[in-house]
Amino acid sequence: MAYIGLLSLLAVMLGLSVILISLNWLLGPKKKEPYKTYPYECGVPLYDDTAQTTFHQGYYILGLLLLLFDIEVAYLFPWAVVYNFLGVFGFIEVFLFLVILTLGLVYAWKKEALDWQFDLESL
Amino acid sequence: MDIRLLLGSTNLYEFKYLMPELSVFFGAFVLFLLDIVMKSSETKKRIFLWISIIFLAVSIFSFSYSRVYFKDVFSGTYTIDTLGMFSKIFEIVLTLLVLPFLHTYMNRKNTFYYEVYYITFLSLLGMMTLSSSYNLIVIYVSLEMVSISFYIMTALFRGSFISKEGAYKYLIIGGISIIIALYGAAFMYAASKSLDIRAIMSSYNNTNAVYLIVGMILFLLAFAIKIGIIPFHFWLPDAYTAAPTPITGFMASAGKLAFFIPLLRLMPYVNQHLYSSWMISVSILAAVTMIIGNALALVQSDIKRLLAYSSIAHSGYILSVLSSNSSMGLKAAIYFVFVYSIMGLGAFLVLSVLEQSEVWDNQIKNIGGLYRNTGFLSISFAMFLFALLGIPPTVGFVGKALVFLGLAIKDIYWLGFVLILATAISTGYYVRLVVLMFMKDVEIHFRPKYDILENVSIGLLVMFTFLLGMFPFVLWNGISNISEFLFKIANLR
Repeated sequence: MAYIGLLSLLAVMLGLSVILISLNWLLGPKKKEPYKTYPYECGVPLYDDTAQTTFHQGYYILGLLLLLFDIEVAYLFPWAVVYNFLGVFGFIEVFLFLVILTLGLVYAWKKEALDWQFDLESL
Repeated sequence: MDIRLLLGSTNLYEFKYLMPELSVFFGAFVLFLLDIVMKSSETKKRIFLWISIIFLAVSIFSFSYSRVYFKDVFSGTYTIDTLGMFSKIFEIVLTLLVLPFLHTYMNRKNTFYYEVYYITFLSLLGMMTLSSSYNLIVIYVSLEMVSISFYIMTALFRGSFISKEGAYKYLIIGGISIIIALYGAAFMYAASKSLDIRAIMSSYNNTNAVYLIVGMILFLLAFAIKIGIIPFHFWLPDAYTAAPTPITGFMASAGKLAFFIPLLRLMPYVNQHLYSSWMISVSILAAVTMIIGNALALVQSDIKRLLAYSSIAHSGYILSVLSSNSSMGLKAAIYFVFVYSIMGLGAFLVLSVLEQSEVWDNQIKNIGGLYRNTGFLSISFAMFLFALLGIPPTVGFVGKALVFLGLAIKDIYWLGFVLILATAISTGYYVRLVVLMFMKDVEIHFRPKYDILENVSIGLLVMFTFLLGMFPFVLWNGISNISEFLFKIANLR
């Protein structure tokens, strides 16, 4: 019985979402538009009709680098919260962390991972 | 815990015990920075080789800086002892012997990556931390460090599809093994509320026995995948065949040595309550590995793959003696691990020199009459093969005799007979290679080229193979003291 509140919350959640979706489906206007099912790709026309083709390797490397610096920010937030408490020690640690990450970026740069202007023959 | 308390308890002067590890780490860092700064050229390649050799030499010499025989540093997470020092020196020397081959091999095969130098250094750093810790977290992190370096190094063969395939298989199965190790570590931690293997194994009581045994066996299985024990060996022949041959030698020698050390450290702490489950699981795995590994090696037509299966079989020999929970068994296991790293590395390095010529494709039929093409290489190859087989004046014989002694001392005779049977099977393929090399007509004509460093390296390995076989006491006295000491410490708890 201790979890009765949680169960009722679950019931309300499920009920509310079912009601909202079905109301939308019942009352909403329905128009057939060709662009409605068109995949969005940054506002440019699609390269391919389907997504089941081979992508350029650069996409993956760029995605990897993005992830790297995303996670860096995730680590910087907790440090910023306890900055006063940690003091100089924390500052040095985070500085080393950032230096290592930046070296990673420089490495990727030097190995031409950010260079997209190349001919396909050399791959 | 208060962060200031935690910082205050770290004694910075303890970093002096980490000198060898730190110099390897700085070597990797310097090579990495140089790779970013310098343009690719012939001089850069030579500079990289010599800088790596210098840093490894500094690392070896820095062992003399802090001479202690047993000490726990950094709140017990890192252990400085003789076994660790011995294996670390061995790993560094093996890396030193591999480097010249790596240089010329990558040059001739047109697959030169500067990354390989600092990845080798980072995997060496992982091996060094792996061989000197009882702490589950440190073992886990260094296991990851060695494995990830190995995945990358396996894939470093430019334009080779097989290399990528082998690396991918290694990545997937290695990832599974890491997960199993973590799972086992979680069980052990839950059973004992401690991360130190010594404290975990001696915390046995009736309430936590099940968790402890499950954790121990999962941990054993994870390492079984890493060292290539049948039935978890599927990645090993593919990855070993796929990698550039000097790297295969590095993985089979230094890597195998490092992966065995945590098991060797675990073994003295297996007390009489845990002994039966440990003995049953280890001995069955070992028996299956010895028989099937040798039988599979017998039917291979590719020499590199044959040596990979022989490496699996040798893991079986070493694992078999771990089932005998005695100081003699530990001595035999340590001795065999060290000597296997010498002879396995030698066999792979000879193959890497042969591979550098265009006409050589690693098929067994092509080895016919190799003696007439290159005398030195074929004689040293025959030496390594005889050592792997276990013919008396070489180290392999001493290793196998000690393994048999270690099994006999605990009355595990059936495993000893399996060992003899497996060795009999292995005679088939080792002797066939030697017969083909020396008694047949020349199949293909070529003249392998090797420079002075490679010559010295193979010569040293042949010398070790012979001298340590004829005078085993050079290595034995040290190993004997180490294992007596480990058992004495284990019994004190």
